[in-house]
Amino acid sequence: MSAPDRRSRFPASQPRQGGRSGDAPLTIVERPATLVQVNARKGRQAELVAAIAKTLALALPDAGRTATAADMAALWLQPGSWLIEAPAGRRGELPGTLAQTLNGIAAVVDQSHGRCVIEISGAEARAVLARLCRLDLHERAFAAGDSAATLVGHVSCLIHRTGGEAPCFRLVVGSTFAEWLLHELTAAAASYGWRFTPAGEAAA
Amino acid sequence: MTSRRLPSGGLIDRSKTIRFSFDGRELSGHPGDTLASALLANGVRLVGRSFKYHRPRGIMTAGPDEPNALVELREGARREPNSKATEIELHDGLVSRSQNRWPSLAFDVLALNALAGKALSAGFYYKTFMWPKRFWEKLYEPLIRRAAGLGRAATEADPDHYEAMHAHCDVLVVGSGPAGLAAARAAGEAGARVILCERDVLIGGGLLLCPDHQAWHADMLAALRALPNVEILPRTNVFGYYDHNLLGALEQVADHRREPGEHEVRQRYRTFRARQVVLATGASERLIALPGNDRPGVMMAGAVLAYLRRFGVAPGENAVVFTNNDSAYDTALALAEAGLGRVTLADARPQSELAGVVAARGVEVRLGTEVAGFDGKSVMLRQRGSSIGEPIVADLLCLSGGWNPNVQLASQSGAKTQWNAELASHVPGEPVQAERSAGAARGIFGIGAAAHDGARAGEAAASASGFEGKPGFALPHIGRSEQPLVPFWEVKADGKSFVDLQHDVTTEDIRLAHREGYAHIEHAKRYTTHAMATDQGKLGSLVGAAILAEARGEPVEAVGVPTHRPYTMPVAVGALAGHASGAHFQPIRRTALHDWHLRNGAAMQPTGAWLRPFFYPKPGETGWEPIFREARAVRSAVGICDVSTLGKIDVQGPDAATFLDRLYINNFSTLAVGKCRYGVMLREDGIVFDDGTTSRLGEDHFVVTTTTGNAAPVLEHMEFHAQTVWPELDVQFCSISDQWAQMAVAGPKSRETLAAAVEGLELANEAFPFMAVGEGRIAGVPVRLFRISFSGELAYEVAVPSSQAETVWEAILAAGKPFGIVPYGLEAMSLMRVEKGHAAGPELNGQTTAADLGMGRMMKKAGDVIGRVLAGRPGLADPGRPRLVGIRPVDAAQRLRGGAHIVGEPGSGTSLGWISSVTQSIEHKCWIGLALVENGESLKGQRLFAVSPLHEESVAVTITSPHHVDPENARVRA
Amino acid sequence: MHLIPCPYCGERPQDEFHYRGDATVTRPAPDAGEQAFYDYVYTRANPRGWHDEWWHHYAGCRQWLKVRRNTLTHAVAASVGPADALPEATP
Repeated sequence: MSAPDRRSRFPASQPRQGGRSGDAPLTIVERPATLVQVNARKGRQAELVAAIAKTLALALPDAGRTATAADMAALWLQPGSWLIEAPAGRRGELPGTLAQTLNGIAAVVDQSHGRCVIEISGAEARAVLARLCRLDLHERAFAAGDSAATLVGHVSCLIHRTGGEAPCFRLVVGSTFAEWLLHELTAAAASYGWRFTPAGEAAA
Repeated sequence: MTSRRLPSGGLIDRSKTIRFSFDGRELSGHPGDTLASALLANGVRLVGRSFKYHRPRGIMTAGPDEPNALVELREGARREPNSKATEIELHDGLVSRSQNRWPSLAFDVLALNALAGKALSAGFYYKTFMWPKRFWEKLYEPLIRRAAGLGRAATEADPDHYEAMHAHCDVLVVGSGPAGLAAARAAGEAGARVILCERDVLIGGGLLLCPDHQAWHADMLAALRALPNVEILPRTNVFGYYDHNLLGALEQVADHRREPGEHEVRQRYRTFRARQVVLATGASERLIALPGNDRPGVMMAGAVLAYLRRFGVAPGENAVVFTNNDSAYDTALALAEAGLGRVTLADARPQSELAGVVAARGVEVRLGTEVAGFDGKSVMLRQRGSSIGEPIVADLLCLSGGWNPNVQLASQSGAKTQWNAELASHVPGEPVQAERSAGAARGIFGIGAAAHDGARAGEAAASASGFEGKPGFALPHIGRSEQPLVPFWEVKADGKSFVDLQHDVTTEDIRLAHREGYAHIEHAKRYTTHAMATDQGKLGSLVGAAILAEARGEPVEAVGVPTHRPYTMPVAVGALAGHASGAHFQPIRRTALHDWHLRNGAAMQPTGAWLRPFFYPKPGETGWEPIFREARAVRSAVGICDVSTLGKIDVQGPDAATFLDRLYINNFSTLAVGKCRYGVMLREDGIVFDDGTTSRLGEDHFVVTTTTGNAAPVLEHMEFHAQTVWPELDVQFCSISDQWAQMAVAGPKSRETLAAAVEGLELANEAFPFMAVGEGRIAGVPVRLFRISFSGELAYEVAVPSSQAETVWEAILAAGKPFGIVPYGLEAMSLMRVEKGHAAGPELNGQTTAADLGMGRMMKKAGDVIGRVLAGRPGLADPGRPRLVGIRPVDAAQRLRGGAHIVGEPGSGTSLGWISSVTQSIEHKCWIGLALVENGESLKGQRLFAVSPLHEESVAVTITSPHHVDPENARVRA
Repeated sequence: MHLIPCPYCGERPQDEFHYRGDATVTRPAPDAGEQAFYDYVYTRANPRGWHDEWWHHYAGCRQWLKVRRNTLTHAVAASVGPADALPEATP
């Protein structure tokens, strides 16, 4: 029997809301995921790209971009290094599978518990982020599929914009900073109002 | 007190009445008023006392240049001093008070300063208060403090919220007059992302005072509001122009209300990163120095026009307008239209083609005339060059000495200013950053001319940021050109003529500064405090420079102006801090067990970025009791401690071992798989950088642990060397600090506890000895186990995927229950590490070498190691350096203090070292400590003294081994 | 808040970076002796004008960038990755 995976990084794992009650509150949702960092061995990057394309059908993206395929995504981290995002249900299996597949090609490091994925959406999502982040996230400057590692609320975050018309951003943040970031987001969204939904308890 | 409100006109809403108070008097005004316009409308003439002489002062301007009308706003925690009445939007219930008067505004005791004027000339602080010395504390300082008060700040915490907001645009337009509006529309219609900032609540700048251009103004506003790529920000004052086209601004979100609404910030600090900037900041009217030019009733001519046209207020009954240029003719006409008793225009120029026009509308024109004095009731006129004056009854004196383009932001951006002889003022020079000035801000005056200039600037700015398009909208026609002004700075006559009203700097002060050798403009400024007040001396800065130039016998342009620096206006520090105060000051990290600690009564304390449990007090426990109880449990049975804050770095690759061998002074290539080893890392200068244990999980796979505080610096250090020094090494590493929660399970019963909890790993001493590493499961969760000890007891650390930390923590607590397991906090951990003699933060202090800490022999014999060469420098290798030792009081009842100096004899002034860490020992039943003492090795067993002059203490101490418990290290191997 | 161009991430605000200083010094061979290491750690030209510097993009791609920055004007002429060379000279 495996132990319960208490996925939420937030102490009171209950939906919450606050701020002014307006028409366009910021929606904040914790999105638990399987996160695996792959770091290419020296001179093996092409093999890594090929192996990921073959096994996961993901084309590892260039700097500043994300790639998606089915229920998975790949985010560029740094030269030779990517973060693979998969459904939370694969936490127990994907890191080991990739370590085997990429043996000798890349270092494979499980970060599923080390990073927390927070999705924010709503008409004022950009205005909220403008209070916490110095990057230009206007649609002309930061299109769907764009990604950037930067500071949000004074902490390092990987931010990427998901597809679709409505502003929707995902923040990947170190899990020990997750609650701090949530505080910063809700404070910045106070004048619009906000709703927060943490991840539920996962099945045993 | 009569109402000065005109029967009609102005941009105020006469259908509504607003009640407010000034110095306790209940007054009323209308929406659209400023506090200044409402005070003037109520006939309030005296609004403050001057800073040095306590002379009576009145409202002088209608905007940010105001030197006099500084008031205290609101009450209690929201009390705010030094607000300019000319910039405060009137709101219901506004409470305001005059400043710098005692006991009351009308009767001010310190106005006697005015009679003692000689003693208060420039530099008087330097000269007067030098002697006698004892007078300073008793007399001078209290007097100066009382006299110099510019209002009182609130003493309670500010109840309001502030925030920062960062915006980006192609074209930032500062100022919304004709030039700014045209620039914003031209750039916006070309497709650029445009932000238009206006400090005023109303958009329009000079257009607000020009009834002729109302239709164009309305059309421009409608067009701009229809463009989705244009954002208009009123009440937003751009105060600074910084490098790489970053500008800072303050948005007064809720200052026009009594208090902010729920979830509303009071002020917002904004930054703009703009590809191109158009500075349409307009111009400021300048003062003329003449006797009595500070009296209530003296106002700038442009301000009077604003009170008449925008606010429907006539600030006097009989007026004299004194000018050297055409602009003030508008004011004279508007005064005549408003129906004042008598309006006289004194033009310093000998001729004016406008004379006939204004005379026909009832203005009495005197050409070639100057004002030689004003006493509040009458103006002394005289022909220029004559000494015979003619008094004219007037309670309002309007001054216009010409207009200075507002070049502050352009100048801050790095552009040098240039002298423009036609304007007798400075204009922005060649841009250094991506900016251009437009309209009055570069000396292009008149609505039509400024609008055309703005449209050109907007088009050029859009084009430079990649958006092409000719302005397709109508622009006002360019009017007649103005007659040249005559540079005119000062009327020399008897009496005090001011160049800086807020700091009470007179023309004589400037000349005195020059006589005393402060002839450079920057020196004269500081000697006289000219242009250093909250208004930045905008009215008289150039006038002062002109007077200094005259004293130097040089033209004004040779003197220059002091450097312009941010801020162009006072900004509250609270607004700049924004949201980042109190609990939001800096990021706070929480371990995966944070919630458990809170639920179980931990006393949480910030340590660096983290909140950590210091101890878990039980009901009734005080002082050291919970710490002793927790430490005793570990020494006698078993305890569990959250050590998740340690930095953890996953290191992989064929060259991982080689890489670690170069980072640490000891070897890791020789470490067996399934073992861990303590390592010490140096900086390249030979000083200890960090320490921790490193485990070998596989041939090419290590996990490094760092101290909590150095987790980020160590990773950067590793990245620097892997990326730039040894790029040939095939090594990959990344932080896994947040992936793994870590807990120490320590104490003689730790093995039995874990044996009851762990599946899949044999924990017997032979199977899993000291410094062994293995994997198993606890409560079904895959964990990593390390047999390491910080407490000095038999101990393990368990690493757990952080989402499952609580499950594992609870399982260990359950398994340890039969042995009396307790959770222990940072304080008990610290107590035990001092007992054991482990170096930590106070010893790894950026000054100690490995040898100083007793670890010199860890340095490997050969191979490249960071810090090896410089650690061998004679100064660092000197055996006499302070060495890590243990320390105990001779009398067990005496306490030790961290920071106490070690001396050979009581009273000796020669320090041999210092106590770095102390604790009360549960093993020795007394205070013990660690110390860094010169020749410490050879002093063991000797009696020295620990002195703490702060506490007037001198304690006899014995130097010991740093290992206060179990020096043979038997327990950890048991 | 200056902008530092990152060859991987684009122009980024300076608070995403940590500054290390002179990128023209290179670590000596391990047997180069004390003076060589002393110079590597301490001896700096402190130029007025163009200067090649290490900037670590810690909040971004975590690369140690070589940035050619003008210490007088704060203008940045070029930046490259840790193993790349800056152009020969900047006028």
